Amino acid sequence: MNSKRKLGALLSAPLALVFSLVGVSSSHAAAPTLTIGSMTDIKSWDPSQAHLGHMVPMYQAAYDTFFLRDSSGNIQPDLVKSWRWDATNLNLQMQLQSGVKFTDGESWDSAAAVANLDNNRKGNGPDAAQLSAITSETIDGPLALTVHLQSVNPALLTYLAGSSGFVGAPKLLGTPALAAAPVGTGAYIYNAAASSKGSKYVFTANPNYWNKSEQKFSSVTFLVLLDITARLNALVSGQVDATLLSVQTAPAAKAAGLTLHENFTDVSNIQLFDRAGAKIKALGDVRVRQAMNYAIDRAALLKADQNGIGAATEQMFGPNSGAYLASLDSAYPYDPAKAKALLAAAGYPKLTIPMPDISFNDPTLQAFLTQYYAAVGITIQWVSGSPANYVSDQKSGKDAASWFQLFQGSPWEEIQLIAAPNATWNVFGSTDPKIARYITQIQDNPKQINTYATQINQELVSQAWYVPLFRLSQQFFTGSHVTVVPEPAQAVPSLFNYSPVA
Amino acid sequence: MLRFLAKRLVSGLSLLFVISTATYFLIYSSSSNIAINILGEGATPDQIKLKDAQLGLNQPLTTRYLHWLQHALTGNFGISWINNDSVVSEIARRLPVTLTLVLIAIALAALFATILGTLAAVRGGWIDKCVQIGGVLGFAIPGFLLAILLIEFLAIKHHIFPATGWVKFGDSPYNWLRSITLPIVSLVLATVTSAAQQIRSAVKTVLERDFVRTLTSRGLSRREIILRHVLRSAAPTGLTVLSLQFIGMLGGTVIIEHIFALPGMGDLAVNATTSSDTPLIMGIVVFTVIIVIIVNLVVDLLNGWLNPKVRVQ
Repeated sequence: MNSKRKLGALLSAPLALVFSLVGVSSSHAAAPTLTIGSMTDIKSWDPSQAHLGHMVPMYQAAYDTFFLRDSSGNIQPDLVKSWRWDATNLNLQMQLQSGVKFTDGESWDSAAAVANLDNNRKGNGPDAAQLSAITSETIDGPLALTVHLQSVNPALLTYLAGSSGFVGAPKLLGTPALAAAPVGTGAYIYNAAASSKGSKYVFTANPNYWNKSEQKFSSVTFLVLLDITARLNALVSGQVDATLLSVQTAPAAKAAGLTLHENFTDVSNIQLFDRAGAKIKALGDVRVRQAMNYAIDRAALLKADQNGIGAATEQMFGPNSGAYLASLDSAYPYDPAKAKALLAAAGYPKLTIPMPDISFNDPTLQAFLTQYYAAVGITIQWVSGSPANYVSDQKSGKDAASWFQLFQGSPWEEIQLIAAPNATWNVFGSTDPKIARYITQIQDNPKQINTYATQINQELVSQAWYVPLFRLSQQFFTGSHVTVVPEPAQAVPSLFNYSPVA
Repeated sequence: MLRFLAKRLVSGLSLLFVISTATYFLIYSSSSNIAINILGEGATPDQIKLKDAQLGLNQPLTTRYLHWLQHALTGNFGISWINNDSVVSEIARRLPVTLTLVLIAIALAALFATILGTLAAVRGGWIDKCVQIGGVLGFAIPGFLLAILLIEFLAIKHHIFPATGWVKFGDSPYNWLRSITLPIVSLVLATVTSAAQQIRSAVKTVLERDFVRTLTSRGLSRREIILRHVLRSAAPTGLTVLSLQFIGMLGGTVIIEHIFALPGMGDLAVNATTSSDTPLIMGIVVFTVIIVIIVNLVVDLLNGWLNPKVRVQ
């Protein structure tokens, strides 16, 4: 055989291999399946370690919750069939669903409910503080219990419909086994053999699920795709049916014919922690804080930073919160002259404010903020730090002000996040007599929460505790095989809100 | 030989000790509150205190370090603070992914670089020009850009390969091969041209030596001279280049693993660092240093086998 034939023979084998690698596009099984690209990974399947936000649908595959939040954000029954607050709003009586079993054979009853409430509030998980008002539970019957609170918590049902309400098999709570593989009453059962930690989590339909109307797929798979480019590629190529993208990658998804399901959950803002002026005296003057609000052209900033996608805002409460006032979104129109006048009147025509550097996350925003504030005489001194410590550094109280992105939840959630003296992001423990009075009134009359929360919202805006910039649009996309209804105040849609497309 | 091995082992262990110690103290000097990083922004002071106690963060730094060292010497690197898995299991799950990519990529890069570099040195002409230009382009064009282009054409437009994901060999050898093809091609394309350039230079240098003229005058065929003598003499340079590229790839796979969503060590290292997961960071550092030491040792041994002069030195 001459050398050319030898070469041909040598090349034909790999060429045959290459051609054999021509893949067929994945076809969907006869029974509908769902594959979701997740931007976060699960740290532990123990329900006590669940956290609100992006990992919620993964827990929802195997776990039900005490209550359910429907696509309008209203509380509905789930494992709790009916409930009633007593006159003090400190005791919640719950009647549980009957005939529900965990996939390890245990029964859902009041003992299981108590075990899960105790696990979720004592497990030292990221959301344990949500249940801190609970002091004890009393079992009133096999499917009846009463939860006792030390203080009124108008958001308790919301918490128990979310990350603090996941219910796991009682005998496995707190064990390494449950941390490694979820066992619940949910619509799907974890398939450990088909899953790969850190990469893929596969669930198959629970044949004995008690709520068949919420079980719409034969299997659900979560692919862990931390990188946004990987998520976009997976969605466009059909590897996943749904995933969260960004305002930067959304045009590519739209061009590929994918469907956008927009939702607003967070607000980009500057937190003016030092309202008493302890570190930076100027921030103790409301005129300075108001000036910082007037100095920003929010519409232009939204266009530059978010491609115009989102909604400029001047208040921290979201439109679905019940405390939102449309008029507050024109409380601080862009007016650099007014900002300068306020600063001069306060005695600070020139001012320097150190803030943690955010260029690792959003260099455009940092550049624009620098420019807007420089135009009114405020020099922002961006202080470098480790991105890994950004949150803990802010919580430590070393910064008088900083930029962050905050969740916009229900009124009580928002008050506990930004307004109460011990709120998560009230790092310096600022107090305001009006806000304190409204909080007391909410606890005395929880049914009037929207009225008083609106007052708190107005006070926060007039006192300029924050410089809200814009509400961020969650760019959630689906392919042609599924559709979804996002619910308010949740970063990604709940699993039970997905449906196959016929 | 035994003395040589013992010397290298001692220097390797010293290096391991210095790097791991420096890393441990550097991690803690730069981190503010690890408990908040783990628990999240909503953590209460009581929760933070409990987490600090659970993780031993309320003990003096040197005590924590000695505790870690004592366990590390027995192969116990502790539990990941984030995943609650043992560090060794986490690394054992991830390392094969990265090693698969890197070993196959380096083997293919070595094969193609040797062929291209030798052809360029021996034949010159357009092959030589292509290798030289390719060497420059290889430095200029980052691997992740190649990866994105490959995904765009071969995964998204033509659905030949998957855009993301890793399939275990045991689950499906065919799908495993499909899942690693594009990442490996990205890694090979990014390294083969610069390696070919180095091998070309080494072969050209050897071809100009007197012994090659002598062998030619003795009537040996050109092919025999190149395959049996020239390549052997040029091999140490090629081995050194490839070993450096292997070590570079270990870190360089981070971006490739991110783009293709591969559960490898690079991805693990980034997540551990951003989460301040100290036990995992320390485990990754130790294992990486060990791999580098092993690679350098293997290269030295191969050089010694190829070139007896090195053994004498």
